[in-house]
Amino acid sequence: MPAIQIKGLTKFYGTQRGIEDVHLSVERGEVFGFIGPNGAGKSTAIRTLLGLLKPDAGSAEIQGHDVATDGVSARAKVGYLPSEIAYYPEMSSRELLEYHASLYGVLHPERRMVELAEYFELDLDRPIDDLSYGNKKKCAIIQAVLHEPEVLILDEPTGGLDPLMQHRFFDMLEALNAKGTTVFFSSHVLSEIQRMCSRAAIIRDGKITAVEDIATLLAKQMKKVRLVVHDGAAIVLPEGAQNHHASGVKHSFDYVGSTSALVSWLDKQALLDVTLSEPDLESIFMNYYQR
Amino acid sequence: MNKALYLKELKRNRKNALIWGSIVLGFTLMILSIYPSFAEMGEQMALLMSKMPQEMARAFGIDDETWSSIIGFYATYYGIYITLLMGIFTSSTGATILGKEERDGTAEFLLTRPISRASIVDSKYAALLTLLLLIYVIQTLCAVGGILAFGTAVDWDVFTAMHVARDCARGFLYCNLRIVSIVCFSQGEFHGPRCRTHFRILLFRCDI
Repeated sequence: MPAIQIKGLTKFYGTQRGIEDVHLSVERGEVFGFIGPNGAGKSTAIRTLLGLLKPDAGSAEIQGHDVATDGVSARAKVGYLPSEIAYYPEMSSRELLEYHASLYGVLHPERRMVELAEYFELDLDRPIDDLSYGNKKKCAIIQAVLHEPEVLILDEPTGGLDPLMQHRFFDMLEALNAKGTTVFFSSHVLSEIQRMCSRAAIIRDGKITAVEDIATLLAKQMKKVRLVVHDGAAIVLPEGAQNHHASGVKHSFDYVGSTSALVSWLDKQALLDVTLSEPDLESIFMNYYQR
Repeated sequence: MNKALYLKELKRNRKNALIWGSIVLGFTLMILSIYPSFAEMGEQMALLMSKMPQEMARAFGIDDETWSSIIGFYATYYGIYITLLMGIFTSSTGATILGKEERDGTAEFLLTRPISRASIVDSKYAALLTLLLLIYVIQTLCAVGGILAFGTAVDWDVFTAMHVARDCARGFLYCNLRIVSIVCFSQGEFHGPRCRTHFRILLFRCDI
């Protein structure tokens, strides 16, 4: 039985499309990425999984519990990190986390809570209202893992975290995953998905357009190449290059294809400087659909 | 009904209950303590009041009983002011107990925990009811104490009839319950078939 099983899930907001006929299956112990541009339906899918929205059609199960008919048992298995955090402003992180734990029947969260707070450098006793966005996020992360859920559902988890904390966060996810926690992870940052996930689904305009191994995704991934060559050096573009722009000694193009082929091509050029960067998500999608 | 949520709600609303409870108790003791000075001029007051238009006296709940005994005096104020004060507590707390969660966006926190919507409404309702009953019981005890201290030749049957029989049949407790149920069950996010059924049952029992 998969950890998360989504069958034909559809949700419209009036005539506005939310998601349409989404099928997904996330295996137990897997780290699964859910990637798509803003407004593609990532949060709609996640909010339906958590029973915040009622699906118009289709069904979803978490650890075998139907989210619509047996939502309480389904949610008991889940740790959820929302993309937008709204907590009781008058409570401190400690109060919130204790309240949270009590709602899952965890009566003594103290030790684990303090450990996690130290790990993320969060002051538990400050009122949530006084916390910065990043610190609120830390509180939300601790909240998601405190009751040791079997499935973690993370909606754009890294927003607002500084690089050090992102690093610790991913380390923690890896450790939890090694212990068997399933992670379902939505993001619009491809490199995050690359780092963490074994498989990923691409969602666009409310529909799943592909479910791929990360390796396959990478092979199809486009890079933006910018180079500066010696004066007068002629350039013969490698195979897979497109959108070539040249101004004097500066060249830029998008490249799709094997990375090692690109590196050996670069090696033959009279290079002064080279930059390889990840294009924005939209152009990855554009590229993905063209092929 | 979820115990953790129920306890949290008791705690979150205790300050409000304490404030309104104090006002109600203070008022109860105040009216009982001024009775002796009215009692001294009981007949004069009754005479004076009889010159007032009947309708006006009735609007204030004043009748012959008002000046002749401490119970009558208490009943006049109890029927209007204490009921009103407790009504304010109930409706103000009831209006925020669910509505605040929606306004602050914390409804999402609550709804993503493993609790059903019906159970959220039930737990909050139970917490509000507990606080209301607590104030009611303490107010009753306080009134008994005040009557013993300031009254003479007290007819307890009338008091019992007022505080127990009338209240429980149709009086202030039900009136307050009605407010609780209306504000609790008419709030959007938490609407569900079961909540609406509850609402209907309560309305039915309250003779609305």
